[in-house]
Amino acid sequence: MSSAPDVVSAGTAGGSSGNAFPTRAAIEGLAMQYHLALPERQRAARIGELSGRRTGSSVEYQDRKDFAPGDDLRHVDWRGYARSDRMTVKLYREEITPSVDLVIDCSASMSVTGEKAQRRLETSYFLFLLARKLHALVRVHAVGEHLRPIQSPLELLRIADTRLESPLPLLRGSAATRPGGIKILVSDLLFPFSPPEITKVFRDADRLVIVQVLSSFEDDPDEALSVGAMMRLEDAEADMHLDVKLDRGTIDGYKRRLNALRDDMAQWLRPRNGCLTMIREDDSLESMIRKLLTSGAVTI
Amino acid sequence: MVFLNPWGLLALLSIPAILALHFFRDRRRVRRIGGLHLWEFARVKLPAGRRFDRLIRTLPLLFQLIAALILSLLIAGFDWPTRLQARHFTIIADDSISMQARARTNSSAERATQAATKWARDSDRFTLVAAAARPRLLAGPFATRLELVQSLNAWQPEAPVCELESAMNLAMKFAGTTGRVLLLTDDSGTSQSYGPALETHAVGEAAPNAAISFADRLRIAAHRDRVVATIKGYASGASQISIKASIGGQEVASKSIEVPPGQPASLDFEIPDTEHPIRLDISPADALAADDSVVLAAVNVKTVRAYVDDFGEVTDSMRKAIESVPNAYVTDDPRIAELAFMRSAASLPSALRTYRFVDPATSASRMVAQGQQLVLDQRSRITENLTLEGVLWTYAPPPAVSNLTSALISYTSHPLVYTEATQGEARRYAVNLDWQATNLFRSTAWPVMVQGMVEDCRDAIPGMDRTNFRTGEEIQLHLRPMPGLEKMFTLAREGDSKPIAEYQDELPPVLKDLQRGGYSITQGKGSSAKSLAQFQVNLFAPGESDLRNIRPHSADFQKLRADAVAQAGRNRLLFYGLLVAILLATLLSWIYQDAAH
Repeated sequence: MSSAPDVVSAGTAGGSSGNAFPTRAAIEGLAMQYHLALPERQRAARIGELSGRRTGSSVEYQDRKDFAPGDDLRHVDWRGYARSDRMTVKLYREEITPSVDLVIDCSASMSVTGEKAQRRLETSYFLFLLARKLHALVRVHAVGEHLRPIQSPLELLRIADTRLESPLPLLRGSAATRPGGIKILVSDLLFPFSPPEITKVFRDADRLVIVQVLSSFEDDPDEALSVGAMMRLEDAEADMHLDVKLDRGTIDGYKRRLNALRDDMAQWLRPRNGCLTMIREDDSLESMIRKLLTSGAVTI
Repeated sequence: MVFLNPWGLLALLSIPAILALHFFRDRRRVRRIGGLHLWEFARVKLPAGRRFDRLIRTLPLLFQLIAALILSLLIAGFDWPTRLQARHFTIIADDSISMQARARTNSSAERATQAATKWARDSDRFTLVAAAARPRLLAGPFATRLELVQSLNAWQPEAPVCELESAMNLAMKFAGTTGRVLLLTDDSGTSQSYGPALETHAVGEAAPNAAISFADRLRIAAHRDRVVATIKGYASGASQISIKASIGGQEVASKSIEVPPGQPASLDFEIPDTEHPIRLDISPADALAADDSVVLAAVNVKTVRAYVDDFGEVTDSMRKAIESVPNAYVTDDPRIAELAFMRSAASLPSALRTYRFVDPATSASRMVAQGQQLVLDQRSRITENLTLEGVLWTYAPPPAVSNLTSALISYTSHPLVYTEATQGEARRYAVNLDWQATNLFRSTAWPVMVQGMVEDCRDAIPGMDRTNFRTGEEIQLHLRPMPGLEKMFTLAREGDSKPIAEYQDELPPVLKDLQRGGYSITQGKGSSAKSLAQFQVNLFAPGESDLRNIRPHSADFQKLRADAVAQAGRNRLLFYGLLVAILLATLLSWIYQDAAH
């Protein structure tokens, strides 16, 4: 694993949104230094200003190839054909306008702690700013009681989280999963699912970036409480609870299941040009960006 | 069921504390998380019902509550006494000073303590009576062996006499009708008259001894005291005894005297000090050290100043009689006089005693009483030891209503000297005597009568009459509180860390049963306290100092009959059972920690 580049400390000074989002200014500053990683291929991208990785119809000459039936006759190199009697076709770099769908989990589980909700907002806003830097067509979707489009992740400050057993039924076949483009899902993934289910929902995406935001207890119960205590776990999404004995076996069992879920998810994402990043509620901005860099979600 | 320490029941408060701890512990461990599906594998079944029901059914909680309950009971001294049959022995310890005699290494008291300690068994119970002038309980009744031994070790015999009769009366109350009393003494001769009721263990040894059998201190001049002492030798032959007087550790006088066997020898010193205690010591050292030294406190002299009105030609006789009394003199200043002889009815403001003579000029007729016909009130200090034979008492006819009850001297129904008025300590007597016609002032009865008047007046002056006493003597205080000081009085013995007694509002008139030592009485508290009096109690016990005829005797302890007494004993089985139960409950609480789930 390559080491992540150093991230310039941006501090946590208050931003323009006031106390509800004190790190906004720092995030906006950091967003100037990073870019959202682009997919290997773009499907259904609109012609735009950004040079795509594929050949296209821009004026920038890229290469040439032998003519094959079906090639655009406007791109045939007639001069070369006259010189060499070989019919070739000029290839031009395509100019694209990528689309980015930022899907933010707004279920109650995302705000079991204030810090977790804050990290969700910071991550979403950071990725939103990076998407905007691409001059991409950025659409933000809040998955709560309904799937609703919002202008910016900053609207999360006004949206109350609602109970939701799983966001997948709402996403399936929705505008957020339209073919092509970069799909970013910010969620804790603490709903019953299997990795193929998610990749199936976003099967037409050029790139799927999943950012998992967890509270420290959800990530590592060992740190939160003394081992051996009886504990009642209350589900944030439903009127359900579960009594567990928080002994070593239980903690190890939970961590095994969580890691297996992550590994499965990462395995399913890798061939599909996707990546998974895990952010903890106690991560700093620097730590958050380092994790995003490491996972390949963003680049310098 | 017995609780030896009921305050220990406060420990029961630990039970609600444990309940609260469990309650809040249960409340605190709730965590809200994003989803439960990753935790399903660890689900445990909790007892159904409300929180309190679950709480009660928690095994560790139950065990902890049981442990707390048992611990509270143990702290409270919970006991279910067992009934034991024990033997009870009554012991009399000779509390006289001769038990301190040290013929060789150990004193008689120490040998008696060793013997009793060796004989006493743990299962028996004891009542220990000290035989002094008045008997007192040293241990018990029904004390354990440990209590008996502790009492004997702390015992310090100091009494001037061993009154075995009264100690025996008290001991028999505990010994019952069949019991036989053990006497721990130094001389077997002490108990010969008690026959089989008393088993004597005499541990003394005959030894020569010398003692100061009497000592006193007298004021002979303004700054000079005389110390008189009597030394008695209790040896087979005459012994040469040295006596040393010292003040504050500095020797001020010494003398040597030959003391014949069994006979007293007296000597005296003149000491140019009237303020400090004087210590007398005799040497060489002998078997009984306690009777070899005395301390004499400074003498407290109460001077009587008398004022005599103009009684014509008998005035001189009156003044001479007053001046013949020690520490009394005539003053011409009536304002400072404590005693006054007046012709008029007026009382002097400072006088404690005023004698108003009836003016013969006020009556035309005269009556005469023969001295032997006069009735004297012998209870009064004034007429004590007074005889008026040969005296012609001429007097004016008394008023119609006479007051014979307060008369010191009366004739038929005529009071001749009687109390006329009383105000606080001050008293005014009327003397119905025609001083011009009576022969009283020329008779020998007059100085005696005046001495009685002076001493009566001296008694009325606040302050102790004496400052040196012997053990067992009643100590008359007659102290007047100082004005402006809190009426809180403290009696303390020199060398003791704690005061002997504290009195609120007023002092007792008499102190009794004080042991030897220097005493002080102060008024007030803390640094504002002021001394009211200082006095000394010395041991003069000639009977105890004679160690020549002491006969030891070993008691046959097997002969001692003991009463079987039902004795309540500590239930050790219950105690250890509860202790084990605590450990078990604690262990189970640990083992079943959360096992109820």
